Amino acid sequence: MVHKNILRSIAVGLALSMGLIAVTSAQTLKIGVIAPLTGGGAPWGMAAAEGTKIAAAEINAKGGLEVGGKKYRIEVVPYDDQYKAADALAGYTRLVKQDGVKYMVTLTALAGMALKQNLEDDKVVALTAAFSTKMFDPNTKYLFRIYSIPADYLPSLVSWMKANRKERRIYLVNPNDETGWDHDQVSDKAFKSDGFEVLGRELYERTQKDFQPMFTKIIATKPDIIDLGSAPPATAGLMARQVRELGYKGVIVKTGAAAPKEVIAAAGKEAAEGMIGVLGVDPVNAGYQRIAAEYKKSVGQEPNEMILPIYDSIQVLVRAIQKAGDVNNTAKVAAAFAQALPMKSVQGEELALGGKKTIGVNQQIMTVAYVGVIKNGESVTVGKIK
Amino acid sequence: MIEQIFVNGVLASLIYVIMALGFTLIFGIMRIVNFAHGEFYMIGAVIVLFFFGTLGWPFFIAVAAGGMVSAILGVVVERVLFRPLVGDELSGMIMSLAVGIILQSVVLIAIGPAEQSAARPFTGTWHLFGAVVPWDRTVVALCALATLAVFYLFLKFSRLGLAMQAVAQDPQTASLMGIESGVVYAAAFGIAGLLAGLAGGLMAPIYTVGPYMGELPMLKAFVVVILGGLGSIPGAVMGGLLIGLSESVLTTFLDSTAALIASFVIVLLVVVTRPTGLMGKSVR
Repeated sequence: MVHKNILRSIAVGLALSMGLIAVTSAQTLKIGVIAPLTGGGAPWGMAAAEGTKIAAAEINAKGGLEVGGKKYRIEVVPYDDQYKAADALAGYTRLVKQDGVKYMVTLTALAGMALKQNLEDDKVVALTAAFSTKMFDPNTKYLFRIYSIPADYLPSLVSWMKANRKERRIYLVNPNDETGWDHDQVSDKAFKSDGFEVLGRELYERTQKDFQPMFTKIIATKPDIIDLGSAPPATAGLMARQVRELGYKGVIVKTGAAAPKEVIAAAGKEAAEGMIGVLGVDPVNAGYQRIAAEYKKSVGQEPNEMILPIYDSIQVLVRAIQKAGDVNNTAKVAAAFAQALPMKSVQGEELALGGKKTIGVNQQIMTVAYVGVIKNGESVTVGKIK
Repeated sequence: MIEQIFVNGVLASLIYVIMALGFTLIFGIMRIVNFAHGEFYMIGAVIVLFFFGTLGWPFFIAVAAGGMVSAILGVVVERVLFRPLVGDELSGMIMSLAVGIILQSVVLIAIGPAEQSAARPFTGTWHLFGAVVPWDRTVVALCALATLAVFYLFLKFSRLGLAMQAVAQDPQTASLMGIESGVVYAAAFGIAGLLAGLAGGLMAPIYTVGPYMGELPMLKAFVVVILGGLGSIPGAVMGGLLIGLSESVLTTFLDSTAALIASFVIVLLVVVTRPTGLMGKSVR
């Protein structure tokens, strides 16, 4: 009896050890994240870090990523760049030199522009959310943008507005930085090309909160559309409220990412009524709601919409790694994006590889966007654009 | 449009003045440039976000609570951190930077990084000679004027106010006259915290609230005080009006970047031609 118990214990112990060996023998694939985890850009940065972690956790829960017959546990290594180029560079150096990372998210235009050449020289595959068209040139091989940018979807949005609205006199407003300048130029071209009259273009400081002097000037030009461009959502809400207080009754559109909940919270229901925005997500989509729920469980807040393209792009990345069959050969992985796509996003829309028309190289995951109109404090999807 | 520009400028000026008053008070009495002043403003706003926005307290009670919390925080940091650094401007600056960063980080952990919107206690607008004046900014302006008046009366007619002026002029002589400098320092920081907290609380429903919301008001207060003269209360008022009105004019006719550049060009010119500011006294 005693012998049987001992033998049984030994058998169980051996089985557990085998399991432990199997788990610990799964190798680790690190994915770095360089994003603003604190400061004004934190809503996007946190979405980037958590979106990557959620995707990684799902893959790990299924036993890991299988590449070339081996299993890899994905580990996410985030660094806070505080929306500063110098900090992004410091984070990159740590990731590549100390942590041995070959795959990363470099979220912002500041980080991307600072690291552009490093990524190519070190052959690090990176995913960026930066809107700037200057991020890419014909020699870009390792950097991929995670979604369509205004240069891709704006012509389609402008056509939608021409078909669905009668207003034609527009004033463009954007932040005074790389993203804002880019958006300003793209918007100006898109609206003018489709017969809209651009009355003026204003660039404001990102830290600004008092927009009454600016809108006093803008209202004097009698626009019937004011485009808030790439304003952060809370700022866009403030702007909507302040321009309505000054008596503006025309259309407010936000041709950059909309994040309607934050806009409505800052503007108030009345000022936000009728505001048109471009949505990266369909808020009632089950796939998006699943990811958002995971984020809320982890962070305790609703996520920024950035979480969705980040999550999708990680899925594209791991698929490209699998297609390449080698986690260490990043050149092969970068080339394998063309085999990984097209694929379905978590929302069920098609993701494709593109970008040649707007950035000169096929280094962009082309996504579908939605037109939303705020009605009675809620964003209602009224169209789809790509 | 001219009336609107003027109204916009005056409304902005009054908040700059309230922020600048506390900043210049601390410098005038303790020779400390308190770069954490913006964070006292932020704390006031966060308190209103919580008590008024979430718990539903009456707005003015929440604002008073915001002011009191910032005041108590001011007294505590003065006693524990700044008292040993009186007169040492560089160390005081460094300490205040550290305090500011710590406060930002604590609030970041508490409420997260996203800018949040507080409920609005006053909505709607009224018209003044053709200019549109939002009611919420009107309330802020009236509160700011009342605060300014009370502060002036306090400094001129109260024992503590007179003691503060004495310590600002000559701390050693004041001490010989029986004025307890420690009490004055604590009161200065407390009152500065109160003013900043009240300003933040009043502005919470007008702008958005976040851990970094104090940075720009701090910068404006700094510009106003340099312009008006470090340690000068009338200078802070004059500087506030000058900056508020010039920003309004330049932003309307040019853009906000031009207004920002102009504020600092004005400061540059004043520092070069009148280093003590428009109404400041020479450094002892």
